[in-house]
Amino acid sequence: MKKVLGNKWYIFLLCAPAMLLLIAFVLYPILNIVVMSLQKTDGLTPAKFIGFKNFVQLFTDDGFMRANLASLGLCLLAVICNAILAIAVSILLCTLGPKTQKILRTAFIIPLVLSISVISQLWLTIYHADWGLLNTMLDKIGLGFLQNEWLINPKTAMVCIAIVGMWWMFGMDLLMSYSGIKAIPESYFEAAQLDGAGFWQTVRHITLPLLKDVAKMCVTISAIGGLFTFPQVYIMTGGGPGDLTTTVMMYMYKQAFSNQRYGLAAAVGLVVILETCVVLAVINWLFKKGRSAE
Amino acid sequence: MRIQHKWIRVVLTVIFGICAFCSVYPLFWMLLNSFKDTSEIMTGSSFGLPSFWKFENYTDALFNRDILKFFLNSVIVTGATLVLTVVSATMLAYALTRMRWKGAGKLNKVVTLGILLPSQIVIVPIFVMLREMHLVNNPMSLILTISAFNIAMATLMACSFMKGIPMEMEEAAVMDGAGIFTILFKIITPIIKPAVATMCINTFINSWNEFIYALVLINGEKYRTLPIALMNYSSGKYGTDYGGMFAAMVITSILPVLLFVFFSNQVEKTFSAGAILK
Repeated sequence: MKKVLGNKWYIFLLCAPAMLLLIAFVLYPILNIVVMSLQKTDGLTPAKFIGFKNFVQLFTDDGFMRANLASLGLCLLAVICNAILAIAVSILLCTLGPKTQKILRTAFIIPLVLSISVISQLWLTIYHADWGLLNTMLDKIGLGFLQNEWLINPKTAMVCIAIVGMWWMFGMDLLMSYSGIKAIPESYFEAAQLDGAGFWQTVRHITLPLLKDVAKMCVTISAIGGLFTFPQVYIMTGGGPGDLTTTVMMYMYKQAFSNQRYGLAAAVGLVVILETCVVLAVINWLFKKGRSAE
Repeated sequence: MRIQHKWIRVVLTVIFGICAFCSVYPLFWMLLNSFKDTSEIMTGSSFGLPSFWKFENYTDALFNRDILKFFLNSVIVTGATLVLTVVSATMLAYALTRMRWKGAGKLNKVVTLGILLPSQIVIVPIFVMLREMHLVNNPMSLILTISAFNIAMATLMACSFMKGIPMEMEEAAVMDGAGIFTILFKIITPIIKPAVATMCINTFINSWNEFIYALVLINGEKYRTLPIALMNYSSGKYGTDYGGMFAAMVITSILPVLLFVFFSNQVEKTFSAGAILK
């Protein structure tokens, strides 16, 4: 027994392929991003060490700051409109009949399996100014005055980008909180009902406290998803009008693959990693605070 | 838990029904438009059925616009990724949960790191590294990268299943003189079939839909995958043929949607399992 399960050679053989991939494509790039962020590289001439100049350049660039604000805005919107809304919807969904639940759940989840590329192209046509679904729909229901060039108008472009991401990922959050609720033993609700608790009381004192871990996950995933919005922007607006919808990932992509400034792009990556850590810490702190307040 | 008032339930059902309709209708619209002529899409009624069903959109997309080639590229990349990810993740999970050695705990932490990190963030160093290895514009680069980012999740999925198998399985097998690979692939893998299904679905959806790495790592027409090929239509290289574009979009979505239709419970489980491991 020990001879087989403790055999070092077997262990090495079993771990090797996966670890090789993880080291080459996850660990090494993370270390390399730190090194690259301190270099000036265009990929053709040899890299030159330039210290923190990349970061100085980033933080004096208004475009980068605006991109950060755009991403953080998308992050906040995703948390509110995706995570929190999905939790509310799933709580209410659980009060309906099982057949209705199944149908509605399926409808919300379908967009999730599609490629973001298809979804962005689809919404690009939905927002189309002349024959897009949105404008014709508004015309049909008598709200024609609201018609707009959705992705060109600076007032609406950002919201339109956000809606696409929400439409895509809503099912994810819904599914998570839904299975979270289903994991709560039915007897808890029955006991609450016997004690004469109404719907809101049950939700407030049983569902929400037991759903806290799931809710944290929903918020975390939505926040990260919002922060890293890229394909929608790349396909639908290319960062325009102006650089209004340029998110940090779009900014990074442009610096790396349009301007060939790999060092600068790596610096952007590093800043975004730190930013993600801060966002995660804030979420952790909020949930901890919520727990001690109880 | 149920709401007692009947009319509240009805109101809720209606509101959610409208939301669900908004969630599905764009897809239905896409399907209908894929059968319409471009001029009808642009000038005709947006809501009605096609005035004549133009199936040429599909044949045109498949053969004249090379969507068939891109589809096969996607199949090859996804298939190779699937095999590489599932096999190496199962092996790693076995070593982590069943074998007796000291480093298992530490290694587990490294794997978890792979889950927390959104893959796009390291695209610049990966691109530079692969270019130095002359692997850019080679499907191999895409396969290796997507596998690497899916292995972490797949490993944890397999681990959570393997922990529950009693050790007597191995004891009996070792008594009979089975080697480690016989134990793993003949005895353990059949037991964790549900986990393998979950791993497969997760990896399939992620690699079929992969956008940013496919965009950066493959720049020639030859090895392009479907999600990137779709952008040919809007780039105006051929002028905009919206009917054909919708057909290509339907073709791109067909496999994931079929997967969802036939294995909807499995797919739901996959998404929630993935979330719980995060």
